[in-house]
Amino acid sequence: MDRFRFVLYRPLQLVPVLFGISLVSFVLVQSIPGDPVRILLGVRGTAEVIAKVRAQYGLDEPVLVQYFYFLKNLAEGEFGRSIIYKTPVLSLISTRIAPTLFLLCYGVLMAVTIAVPLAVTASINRGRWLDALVRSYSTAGLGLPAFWLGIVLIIVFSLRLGWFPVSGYGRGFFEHLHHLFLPAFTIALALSPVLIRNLRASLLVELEADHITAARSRGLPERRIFFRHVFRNSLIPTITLLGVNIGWLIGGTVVVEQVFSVPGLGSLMVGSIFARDYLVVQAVTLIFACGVILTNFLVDVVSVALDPRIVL
Amino acid sequence: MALLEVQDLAIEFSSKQGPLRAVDNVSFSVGAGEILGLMGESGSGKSVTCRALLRLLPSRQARIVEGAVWFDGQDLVSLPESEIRKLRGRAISMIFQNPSSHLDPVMTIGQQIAEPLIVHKGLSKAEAKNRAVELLRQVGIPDPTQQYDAYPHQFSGGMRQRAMIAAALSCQPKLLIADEPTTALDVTVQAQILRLLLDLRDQEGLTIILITHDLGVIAQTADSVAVMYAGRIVEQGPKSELLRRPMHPYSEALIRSQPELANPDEALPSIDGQPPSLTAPPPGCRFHPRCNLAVADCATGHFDLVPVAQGRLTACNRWQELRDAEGENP
Amino acid sequence: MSAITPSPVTLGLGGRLGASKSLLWGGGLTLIWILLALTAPLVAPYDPTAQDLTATLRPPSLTHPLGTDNFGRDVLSRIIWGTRLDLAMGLLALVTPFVAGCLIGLISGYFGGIVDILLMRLLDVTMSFPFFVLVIAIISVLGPGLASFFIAVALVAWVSYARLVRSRVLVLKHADFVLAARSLGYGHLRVMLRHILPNAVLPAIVFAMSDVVITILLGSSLSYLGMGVQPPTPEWGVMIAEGQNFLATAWWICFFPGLAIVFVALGFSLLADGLAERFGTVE
Repeated sequence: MDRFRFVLYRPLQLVPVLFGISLVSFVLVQSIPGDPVRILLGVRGTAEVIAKVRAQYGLDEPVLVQYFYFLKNLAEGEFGRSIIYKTPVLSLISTRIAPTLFLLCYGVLMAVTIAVPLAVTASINRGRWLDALVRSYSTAGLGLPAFWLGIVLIIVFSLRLGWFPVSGYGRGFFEHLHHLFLPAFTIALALSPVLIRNLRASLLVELEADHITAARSRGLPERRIFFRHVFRNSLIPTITLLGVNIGWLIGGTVVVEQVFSVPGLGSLMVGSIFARDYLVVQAVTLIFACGVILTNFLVDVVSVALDPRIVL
Repeated sequence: MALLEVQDLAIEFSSKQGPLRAVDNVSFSVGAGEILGLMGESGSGKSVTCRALLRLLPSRQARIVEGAVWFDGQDLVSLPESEIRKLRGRAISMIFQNPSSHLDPVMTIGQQIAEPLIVHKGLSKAEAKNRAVELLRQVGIPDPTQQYDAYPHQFSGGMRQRAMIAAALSCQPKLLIADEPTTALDVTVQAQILRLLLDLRDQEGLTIILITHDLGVIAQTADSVAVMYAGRIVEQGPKSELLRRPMHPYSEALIRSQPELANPDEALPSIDGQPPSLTAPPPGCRFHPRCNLAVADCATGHFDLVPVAQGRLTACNRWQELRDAEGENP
Repeated sequence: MSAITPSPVTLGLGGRLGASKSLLWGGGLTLIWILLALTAPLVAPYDPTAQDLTATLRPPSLTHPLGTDNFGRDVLSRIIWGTRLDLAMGLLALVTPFVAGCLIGLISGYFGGIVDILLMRLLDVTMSFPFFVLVIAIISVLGPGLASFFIAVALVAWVSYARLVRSRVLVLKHADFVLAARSLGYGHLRVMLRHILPNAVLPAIVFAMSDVVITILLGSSLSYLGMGVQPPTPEWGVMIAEGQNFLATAWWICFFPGLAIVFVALGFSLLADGLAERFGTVE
């Protein structure tokens, strides 16, 4: 259990990165040209409100002090107010985060469901036409624009076949499943090529590994060898890859949410950019960065659990 | 009565330059309880031969083109895959040169030993675990109950090889094929592993085919020896006689180039030239381009293994000249 | 060495043949697109922005092979002209981050010390942001447009190159030939530029090929969202966004520009694969 001790001290190691992230978000809003009060309030408020905001963000102080005010506000969960929605940014985010998380998990699960059988088929049939087929898909699929893919799926499955709604999130778990099917499928189709390529490559390495020959020499059935020995070993690099790709995946979700009008963080961010609702943009950016850090941390925990050799 | 008999085995690999005959016309037999040392340089075909016995060659590249392997009244070469799988691990087992890469890194040592017991003998997990702990003890792993849950990377090289032996022996096979089992290990550990193999033979009646390029290993362990060169067996015989009086110039040169056997005052003799390419092996005796005793006849005709004395076989036509040369220069 | 490992000769040759196949196809495909971009005025049958309100939303036909959009503009001509912008977005946007990233990685890896530590922190921070999210956040500050896109990519994309080159430099600076060059009395600059950089830059070049794919996808996505190239300029993402309103009646407006993106990306992906196999670089 010593190998899991990093769970305790990793958060400490992350402190500088978290500072950096907050600094970047701070600089982002600082560099917007114009009156900061306007940025924060959107409209010219009463003198009283303006004074209150100036005090809260330390706008009369030097920049460095303003940064400390910013950190202090963050620590208190104070992300400011949205000038469009007229609500605290934090509550806005808390209502928008669920669809995004749902979509991300749904998409990743679907991607894995697509990628694993295809990669396994390809690796077992190495060099034959099935392998060539899977390889073509996984190479051509690297350049699939998620937004276009979403549109093509809408044309086929919503407009032509009428199987799925064009947009929205629905109410309750099963409606979510139904409404988010096409968005999740879009994400899955865009993500699976990377997964297939990686998993196929590591399966091929593992299939030829010495310990597989050794397992064969002990007369173990091929099926057992594949699942107990080959597959388990191949999974580790693929899980690491999922972690590396989480940032890319979040980017994809932002676009896909926009295509399917999913009321998540991504469409909130895009909408806020056009509305110049900067505090929302800043907060969503921060949340996404924290999501990446958290995911990488979880991936580390899973890798350590799967591979006894890894010591962090 | 031989436990295993190999007859005229030939194996071809596909390569860009056409088929490559890695093993050609190889015959030998192993008696029950015997340790046969199969000796030769790397690339001589000894590993390929032994993997072919269990049909573990990569099916994509390698093919057994001729010959038969008789074991328990069955020809392993013509046996269907499902039947040969039943023999693997149960009747014939194998251990390998590099124990660290031949053990599954993400499975505990104990599970890997218990796995064949569950699959072949249908033991329950608990029974298999008890038996695996027993096996760990038998191969000399201290504190086996604890070590059952260890992973391969937590073991030393020697311990890993012991664990691999335990996994190979879990279903009590009659024959163990040991492919360079000590090559990757320190000298002191080598001796321990060889000792273990000898004990297993003495106590359990295990038959062992020991593949090695190391004459020292042969000298310590084997009962009889077969020497391979360029895909063929060139000489075969009881160990002590073969080492004392080789009957093929290649074995003779090998023995003389061993540091521990050489005269410390002389430069260490080595064999000139390179082993031949197997895509275009030299005609006649494959060793003749590097042989001191070669005459014109050596470059033509067949050089099959023929019996020349009690238990001794050689593929050299001029083995008597070799004995004479030996006699002149003891 | 046991003799059983699959003959390295056969595998090596097979691998190299496969590599040259990827290189050939990828190179050929990419070349065709670049030629198309260069000769757009000659090849395109119509003016990409000329409206023909008598021929709107026409399905693919002989006069308009890929149909027309809601303003009667020829989709094929717009795609051909769009090649210029989308290739430029993928290729030109990466020039600055490539050069800057390689140099920063080189200096940081070679000299180490406090500069290197700070750089590593900066890399950690930048990589914590989802690439796409950080780019649109920067664009939100700079305002939409192609120039903002180039700046945003430059600010974010150098990180991968710096990291790749740095890790190579860390290995190379202890390599025998570098120590030999140092012992001959060559200065740091000469050793860095003449001896280390040429050896360290290869993985960065291979990565750049797949980065082109990412950047083209990014650029067209941004234009689709309305943050990149602005209509009526013919750009593939813009075309897809404009066509989205006519999905039910005129699928071709959206469909073909997306296909163009897929095939441009395919060319560079194959190129990346071919180079990676050829030079055996790891990601």
